Amino acid sequence: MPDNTSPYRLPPDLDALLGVHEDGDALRDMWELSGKRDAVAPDARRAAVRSAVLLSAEPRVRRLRLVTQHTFRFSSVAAALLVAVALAFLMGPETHIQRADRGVAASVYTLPDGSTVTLAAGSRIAYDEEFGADRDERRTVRLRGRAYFDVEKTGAPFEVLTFNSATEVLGTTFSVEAWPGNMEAASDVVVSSGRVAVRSGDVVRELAPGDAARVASGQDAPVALPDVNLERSLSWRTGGLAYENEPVGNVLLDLERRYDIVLSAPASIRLRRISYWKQHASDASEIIGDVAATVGVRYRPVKDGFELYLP
Amino acid sequence: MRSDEEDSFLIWSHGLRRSETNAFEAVFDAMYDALFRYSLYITRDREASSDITQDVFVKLWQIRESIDPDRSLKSLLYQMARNYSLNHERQKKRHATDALSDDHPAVSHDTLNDEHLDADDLRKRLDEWIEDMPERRREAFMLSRYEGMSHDEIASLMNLAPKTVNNHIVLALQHLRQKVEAYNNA
Repeated sequence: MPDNTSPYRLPPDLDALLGVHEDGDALRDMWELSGKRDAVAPDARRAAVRSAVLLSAEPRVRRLRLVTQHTFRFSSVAAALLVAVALAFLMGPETHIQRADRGVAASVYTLPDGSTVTLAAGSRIAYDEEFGADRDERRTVRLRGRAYFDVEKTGAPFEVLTFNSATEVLGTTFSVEAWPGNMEAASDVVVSSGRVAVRSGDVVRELAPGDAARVASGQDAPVALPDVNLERSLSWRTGGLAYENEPVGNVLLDLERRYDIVLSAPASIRLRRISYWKQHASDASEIIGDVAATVGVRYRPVKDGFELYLP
Repeated sequence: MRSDEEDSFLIWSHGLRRSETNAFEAVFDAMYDALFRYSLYITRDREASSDITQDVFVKLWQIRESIDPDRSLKSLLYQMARNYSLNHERQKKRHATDALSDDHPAVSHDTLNDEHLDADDLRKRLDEWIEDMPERRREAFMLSRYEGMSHDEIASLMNLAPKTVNNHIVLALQHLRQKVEAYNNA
């Protein structure tokens, strides 16, 4: 494939045409002359676009989604898995599920052991009926979304499971955020007091107050997140918004949950990145306006939400 | 040469249908530059062309399961790049009134004092002259002259009769000829 100003010859059909044209020779000269135009310089953003585009085709995330959404269309393995999951539900202890409403910044729940959990809009936790019943038994909460835990010290370990990580504590306050549907999906753990251990695969990382770690999807190890601003990263509990070099697509998903609205934007906007901080987020239109201005795109209200588009 | 290329695209089509990321990667590497240039021929905006080409590839992955291997993947990509670029142009026109500034200041057409056509100057002039063509004529000419597409390929991409493509290209060459003559007589 040629990627330079081309040495392209006169195409045969044009050659024939000019053969009978009164100014044929002069026009042939013009063909030659136009070959002296400078080559189009390759796109300087190509490498960035390449990695962003390949990221959007990340197979792991896709496959997870396929299994949950289109189980029946896929292999017998998936069907068997479905049966196994159904059996586990039927035979295991009953599961309690708490969902935080969309449109509400933060909702607080008390768990059976007295621990409290603050859930961000659209988040969900699940725990078994026997949670906290036995003083020596591990207390396990499964999380999808974002939650801040204030764990009661009972002597039994307390564990938060996400789609790719486990965070274990005794008594402490910390937050976990894990949206498996996000771009560059990851589990982020931020500690505000006490000590916690984050585990993924066989790797365990201990965190002290002010520390944060991330388990990226497809990587079986927690990695330290340096320079996390504790106040900002926990400000969602009091109606704040804080994004640090975050793909715009994830921000839009977050704002959809936060305001219970629908936001649309082309992939080229969703793949851009944004850093944004607001201590007290007001109404949706103001925040969308800020986001659009920060990434240099336009927006307009549509039914049930907003549309972002390129200028 | 030609059929090797067609073979590769056929293999990639099947790979994409099976969600193989290495096929996706190969298509990106083979086609990004060409699609970027094509978008640039229509939009004349590098930033927008980059966004548009990105959208094309993200969309390609989204629709990968419905790709028809019997149809040319390369044509599909050109077609997508074209639709997105034209769409971008339409939106730009719609919002032209509230645009703060134009990314493309009109090219200057000052008469030259210079008598002779040196190479640098010629290149600059060539760009201006090509810019001056009507949009669809410029598009057809660029695809023929700088992308090596046959008139049939251009006709099917731009949804034109092959005869119309012939006319566009002859008229484009005549346009250049007039510009060169005017320049030489200035």
